[in-house]
Amino acid sequence: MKYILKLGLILMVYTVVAGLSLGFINNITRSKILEQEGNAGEKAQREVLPEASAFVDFTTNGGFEYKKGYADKDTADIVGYVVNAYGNGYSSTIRTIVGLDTTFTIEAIEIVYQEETPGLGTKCVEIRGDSPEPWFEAQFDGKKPDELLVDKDGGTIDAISGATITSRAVTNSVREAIEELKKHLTKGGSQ
Amino acid sequence: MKLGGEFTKGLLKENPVLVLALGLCPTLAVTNTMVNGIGMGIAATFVLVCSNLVISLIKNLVPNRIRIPVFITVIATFVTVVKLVMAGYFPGLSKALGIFIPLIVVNCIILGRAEGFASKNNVLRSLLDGLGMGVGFMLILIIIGAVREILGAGTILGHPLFGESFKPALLMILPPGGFFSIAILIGLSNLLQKRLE
Repeated sequence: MKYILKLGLILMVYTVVAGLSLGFINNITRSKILEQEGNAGEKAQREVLPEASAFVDFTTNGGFEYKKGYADKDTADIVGYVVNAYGNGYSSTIRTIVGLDTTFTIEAIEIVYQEETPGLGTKCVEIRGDSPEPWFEAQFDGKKPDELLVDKDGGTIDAISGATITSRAVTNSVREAIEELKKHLTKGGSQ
Repeated sequence: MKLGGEFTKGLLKENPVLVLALGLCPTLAVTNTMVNGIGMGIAATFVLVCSNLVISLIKNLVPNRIRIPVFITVIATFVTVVKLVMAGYFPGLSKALGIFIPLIVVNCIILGRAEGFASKNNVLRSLLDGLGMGVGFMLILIIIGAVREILGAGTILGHPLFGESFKPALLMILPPGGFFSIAILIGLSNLLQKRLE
């Protein structure tokens, strides 16, 4: 018993040292990582809503964040909205940026973070042939939220073969994010 | 063995991939382009050198019964350092290598060298062993990555090599291409080792 306790304590010393050193490294790299993610996010929002040149952040009372996209910095012409969708995939939380026009039709989506199974779930960002956009994301262009279900659930999005969980996570999270935005904007009447 | 031998044995005679057949999973999975091979090779070499160094330093302070959990803790710490640094400073590479960086923790080359070498040898020898094994691993990743990228995509480090008329053999960047290249490379290295003897 005493021996087991001793082993446990020794192991604890090693893990504490490891934990402290990782905390130290994390402190150094955290701001840089956030900056990189921010850059990727800005690039993505321009890509999903190309008509907009200025974006303004909003947060609803419920804590839901979205952006309004304006054609020009000086005008009040809303050309669309950008929302983040978070879906629980097979091995990661998949973050998708969704660009919408003012009728809540999807302009484009972009998956900005995923760590799904290589060769299966990662196909959600696979580029096929000459198209610059991944084929799975391209299916969402021009769709209304009520069409957003994978084919197995009776919708119009072809699921990635072998990665239904990933496909469902992206599709459902995008639909839910749009519905959330719609509910907020129509209720508030601030369109 | 002479000190220099600890380094050079990893390159050919005891090459981790070709001879010890360790770490085949990342070798097959990340070598569809050359730049992925380089990135993975550098990351694995860094972890290997650091973990060999630390483990040879603490080898007398670790009770035999819990050596594996301690080694894994050391390795996982260095892998997490690599993951954080890569995400912060090389986001493109970090995205391309994705899950394979955290998986370095269970790369059998690293634990294999910790258990089989660093826990029995002094610091200098362990350092050289880690460096040699890491460079040997990276060399193979680069060779396979280059072959697969040239044949499978017609590019090298992303630059097109051939004219428009070149039809790449897509099979080479898919999993079978990895198996083919690795098999041919192991065959060639066996041939070379026989000649040398």
